[in-house]
Amino acid sequence: MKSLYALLLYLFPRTYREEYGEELQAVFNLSMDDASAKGGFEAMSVTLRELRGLPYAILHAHLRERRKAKMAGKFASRFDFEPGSGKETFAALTPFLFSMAMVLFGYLARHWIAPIWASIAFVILFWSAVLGLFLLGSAKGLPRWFLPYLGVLLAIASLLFFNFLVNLRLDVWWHRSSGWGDDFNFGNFLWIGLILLVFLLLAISRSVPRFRPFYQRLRDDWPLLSFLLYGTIPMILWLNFDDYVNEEPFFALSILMLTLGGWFYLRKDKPLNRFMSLQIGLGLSMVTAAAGKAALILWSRSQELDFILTDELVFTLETWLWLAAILSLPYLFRLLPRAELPSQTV
Amino acid sequence: MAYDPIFYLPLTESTFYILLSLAPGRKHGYAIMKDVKDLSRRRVNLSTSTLYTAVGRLLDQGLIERLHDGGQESGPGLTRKSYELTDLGRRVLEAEHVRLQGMVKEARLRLREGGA
Repeated sequence: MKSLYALLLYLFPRTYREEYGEELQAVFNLSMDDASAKGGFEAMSVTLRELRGLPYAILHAHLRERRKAKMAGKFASRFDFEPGSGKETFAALTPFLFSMAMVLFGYLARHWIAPIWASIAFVILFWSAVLGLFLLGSAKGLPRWFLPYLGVLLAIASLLFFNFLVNLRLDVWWHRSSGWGDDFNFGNFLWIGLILLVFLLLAISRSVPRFRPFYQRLRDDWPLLSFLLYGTIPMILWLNFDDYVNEEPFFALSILMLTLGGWFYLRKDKPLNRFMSLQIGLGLSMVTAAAGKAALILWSRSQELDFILTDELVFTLETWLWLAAILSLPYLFRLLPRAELPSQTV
Repeated sequence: MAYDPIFYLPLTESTFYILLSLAPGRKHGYAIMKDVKDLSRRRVNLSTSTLYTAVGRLLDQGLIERLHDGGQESGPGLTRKSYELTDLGRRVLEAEHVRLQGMVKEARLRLREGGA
């Protein structure tokens, strides 16, 4: 009977067995020894009592272990997305896919008047998913799939910076003073702000010990920073399509091109191929945006058709060139001398 | 974890007897099992696995603690681990005692009124 009990103890979870197995066996042995000394009936009674109590105890022990594992955060390991896996791809492309969904939903809601509850539910779903993945990525040490989320933040920060300059009326001063405004549009300060923020991000991650491993990762695999910057583009596209009416289908199509570029980036191994995937995604997106704008202007039958068309296409081309240059900035990492940095976990 | 004894009340009968068994001092598993049987006048007859399920829960709740040096009652073949009430465990037991006393008092009064 003691041997059978020893075997039955294997039905308990391993950690529970390690914690209590020896005691369970010892107490059971003592109970059986005592009962046997009192006679066969008592021994039978103790055996039945022990067998009756086992199923509940085993089930309870398994539930306890599961609860402990959850409290220790082991369940979060399911969010450690394998590089190149479908989950990683989905998590990385969520800012693009959801931006696209938001644009299309806005379009459909305007034309077919979606019920208010559907709009509210969609917005809640959108922000919960993005915020949830953002928090998860921060907790998981800024993995690759998380970088476009940082890009979104960077775009918002550069817009705030630009807005700050406009609020200071620096744009008025710029265009009045010494004719600089003729050669260099004040709007380009948006890009300068973005570039400054990239350098600020690198400086912080280089100098704060906790973030140094992140900086080192960016240096070791320079297209990672390009991927981070790629996350800024949906917001830039949104600015590009500002003031248009019925632009949503073209806007969504442009974001779809970006999503495709991101998808190829996540599937390529060589740094140059990954970088080129992003540049091609950007190029396709900008061509789509330009074609969309041209179509919208032509349909609008404006009086100053030629002027607006040229102006908008030049603006889109400028945006493309700035973004292509900004995505290429991380290549400069290759020119920097390499230095040993202490490795820590972010 | 809540540190107000009231939070743990009411105790189940087996939990009450396990804590009561440990009130005089530390005991090992088998001694608790026998003591619970005696205290409850053989009504609560714990199996080994049921006892350790309760012990695990009481350890998690911080009502008892495990001692690895073995109690005075450890004998040959017995694992040298014993259990003892924590301060919180003792306060919970006292709170349960007061609660039960109040119930008994009320029951006694009502039964007297009914009998009169």
